[in-house]
Amino acid sequence: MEEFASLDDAALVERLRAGDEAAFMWLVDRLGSSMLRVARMYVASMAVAEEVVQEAWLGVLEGIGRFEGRSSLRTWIFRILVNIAKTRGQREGRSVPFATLAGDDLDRPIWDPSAFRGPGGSPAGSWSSLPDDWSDVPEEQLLASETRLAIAHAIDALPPMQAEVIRLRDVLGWSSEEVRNALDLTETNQRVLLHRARAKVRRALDSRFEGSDR
Amino acid sequence: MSEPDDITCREVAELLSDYLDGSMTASDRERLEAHLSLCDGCTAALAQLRETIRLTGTLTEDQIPEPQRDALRDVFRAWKQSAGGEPA
Repeated sequence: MEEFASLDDAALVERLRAGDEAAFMWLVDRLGSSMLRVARMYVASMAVAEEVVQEAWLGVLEGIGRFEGRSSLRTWIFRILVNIAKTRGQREGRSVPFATLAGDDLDRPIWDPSAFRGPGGSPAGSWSSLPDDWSDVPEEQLLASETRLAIAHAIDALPPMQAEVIRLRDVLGWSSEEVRNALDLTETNQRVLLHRARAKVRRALDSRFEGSDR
Repeated sequence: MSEPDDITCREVAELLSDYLDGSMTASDRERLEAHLSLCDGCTAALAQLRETIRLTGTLTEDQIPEPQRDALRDVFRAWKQSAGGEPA
């Protein structure tokens, strides 16, 4: 399966057009989990989300002859998915406010205000206690499975759109433009969602390392 | 060159993710870097955020459950049969 990782979009598209099942399943394995979660944001149940994902893949296969490479393949696949998921959600009479997906805390500061000196402090707005230096946390602890679990839990606890943005950006390594297009977000929203998600993961890590024996 | 203290740590802390993403204007970036060069607290906060991103990158995604994988393989086979796919 590793052979597909080295293919660019044009080559992958060629394989799909040629009916290469292994190439298709490789893509399914790469994108399937994210697609299910994204579909689930817009529809009422996981069962419907599964149907939406199947419909999206069929749409991909039927449209693959027309793919022109103006976006990345994965972005294009997600656009098809999101369109179908939104339409399906609307048909179910389900309208999900953006704030429900994105979180209602987008305009609040991400650092605890008590970390900074107030207007009377000197200088105002400077750190009242410095952030911990993590460079003395041993690498084994940084990379321990418990650390990964703490990150995974922190991400799972995020509002769904924040969670998906950080997964696509920082777990899967997509570019900001790909994520913005894939999830139909404005440039600002992509940035703010990522910023908040990273801040919450950072906080989870900070409390984990704080109590650590180092 | 901007004055190092024309931006507060509280403000810098909110900009660090954009800074690491390269999504700041050149002048904002310069202001931020001038502040960082003099501020241990913001430098530590930046290092924490960098490390957060690195560690998040060590996560892996689960595969979808096998029945769904099978269902998608069926979607592919049905498409291939009906559309033929182009000959390889």
